[in-house]
Amino acid sequence: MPPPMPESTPIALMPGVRAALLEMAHRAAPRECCGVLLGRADGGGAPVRIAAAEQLANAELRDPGTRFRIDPRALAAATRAARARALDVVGFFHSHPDGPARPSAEDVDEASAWPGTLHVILAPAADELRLYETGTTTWYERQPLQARP
Amino acid sequence: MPQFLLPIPLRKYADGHGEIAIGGASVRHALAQLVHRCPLLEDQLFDTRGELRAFVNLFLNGDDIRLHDGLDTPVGERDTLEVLPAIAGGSGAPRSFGGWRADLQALIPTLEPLELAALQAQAQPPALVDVRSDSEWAQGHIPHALHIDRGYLEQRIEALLPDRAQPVVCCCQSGVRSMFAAETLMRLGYRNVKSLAGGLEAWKQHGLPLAVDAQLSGHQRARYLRHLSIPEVGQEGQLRLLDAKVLLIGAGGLGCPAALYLAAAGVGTLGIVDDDVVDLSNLQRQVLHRADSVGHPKTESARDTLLALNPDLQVRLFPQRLDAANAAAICAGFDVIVDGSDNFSTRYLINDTAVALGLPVVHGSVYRFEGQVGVFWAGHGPCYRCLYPAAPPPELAPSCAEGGVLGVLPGVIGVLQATETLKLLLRIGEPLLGRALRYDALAGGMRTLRFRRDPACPCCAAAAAEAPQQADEGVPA
Repeated sequence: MPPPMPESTPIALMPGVRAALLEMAHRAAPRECCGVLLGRADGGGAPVRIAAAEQLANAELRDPGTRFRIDPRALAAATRAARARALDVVGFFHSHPDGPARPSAEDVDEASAWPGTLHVILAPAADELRLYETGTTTWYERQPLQARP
Repeated sequence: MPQFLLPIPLRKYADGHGEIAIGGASVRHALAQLVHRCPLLEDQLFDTRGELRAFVNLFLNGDDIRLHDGLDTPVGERDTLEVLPAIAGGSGAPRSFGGWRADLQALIPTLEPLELAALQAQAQPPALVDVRSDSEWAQGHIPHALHIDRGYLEQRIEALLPDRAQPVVCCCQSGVRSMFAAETLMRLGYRNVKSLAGGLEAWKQHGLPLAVDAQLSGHQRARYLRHLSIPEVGQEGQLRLLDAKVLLIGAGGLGCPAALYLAAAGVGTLGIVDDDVVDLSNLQRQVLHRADSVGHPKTESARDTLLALNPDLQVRLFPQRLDAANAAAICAGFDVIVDGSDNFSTRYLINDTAVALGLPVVHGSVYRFEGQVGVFWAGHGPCYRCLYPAAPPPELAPSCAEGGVLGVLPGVIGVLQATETLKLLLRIGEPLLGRALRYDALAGGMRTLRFRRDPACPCCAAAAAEAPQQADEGVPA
């Protein structure tokens, strides 16, 4: 029985982001794609807004079909570039070309970062996108608000 | 003041701030000040041992601090320090064999057979690890390869190749298993691992040489099972015994028990020198001979009993008295001589012949309730003449025929001679070089006499001088 999901601020997926993410996952298959979610998190109970997604190279060269890794330097560069556009890295994403849009044990072990980190998992085979908030031993699925254009 | 940039999940521990100006001359110093300012961040950034958490990366103006001096990297007024997580993962989807193999083909460097052959000819060739099964290995392998069955690779490789920097080439039959083995070695930290492309099949197609080791048959494995389970013997030692040739001088009180156990142990060839026929009085102690052997040559009686015990034994019979004319011809070609003679003139002849041929002699002698055993080997220790430069007068050295002997006593000493012989053949333990083990049956005790090589020994001084590095070490080559 997973621990109860902590209180969280709402999350809004801006129009076009879902389609753009699925498009990246389809194109990368049979390899895993990965990258950062960009947006704003202004605090004070305002929704976290995911405004865009930027794909970064899958640095996992040995098993790119079943593993992904974001190169830390690419992440640092993406973070700086986002700041220049007055955006923040609000989360991460990666795809499971052959699997479900659910976090694997490796994902929970290696991609949880700090609890509360947002993470989208894409399952191109099922044309599915699911959004999670990480915890220490499990990830909690979040339902993004349907943001109006 | 340097700026700290925090990712969104950490901002709640810093009053919602994403940027914090912090003093400090180094990254370590700045981190300490940050944690001092925002104590809740400590658990998020450091583990219980006070080390940065494994997934925490720090960037100074966009560069990973590990590219600089890590936590000791200096920080200046206008610098920006950013905290970012390491992000990785896997789909958890089951891997297919084909996909895995394809990944390894891209990852593991390979070596062509001719490249490997060229490397093997160099002064410092790579370690070649053959990961096939025992039965495949037995069919033939690349010379100088190390055999570790794939199933035991992880367990055994560190003991056999402790140096992780040592270049390693894995090989198998066709070049597939060796890729998986190479991946395993890489995971274990071996830094220079390759796989032989096409494996042994390709090696053979290039006409490169194969080594085929002798193997015990199934029957031999069963017969010598108790030897195989001793690591000091094992298959290699048993093969050595089967290949060995031991000459017994005398098929009497000492030669009989020694021969019986050497044949049972699997010594491949036994030579027996004896010109006597079996007498009824021999049967009290000479256990190879039977009541119906009386009157027959001892050599033939001994052969029949030994072959009944071990039909695979090769027996070479010399139904003659050892003398100066035939000694060298008879002894040549044997690995060890077991001296079971009963007179000094024969012992000196055996000694002088063995010194000339460089052979070890396992000596035994008995009288009534006492016996002694020792190993004489010129070049490795004293010879018989170092201990007894001249024969004692006959009245002080009566033979068994004159003095009598307790029937079991030559059994004890002959079996000790067989034991020393096996140690020499297997190259294990400490042979009785420069030592005589004396057994007193009435007292029920043993003691060891030590003696040295005589540097002026007329018999072995020259032989010892030829092998000075081995003299007196008591370790046979």
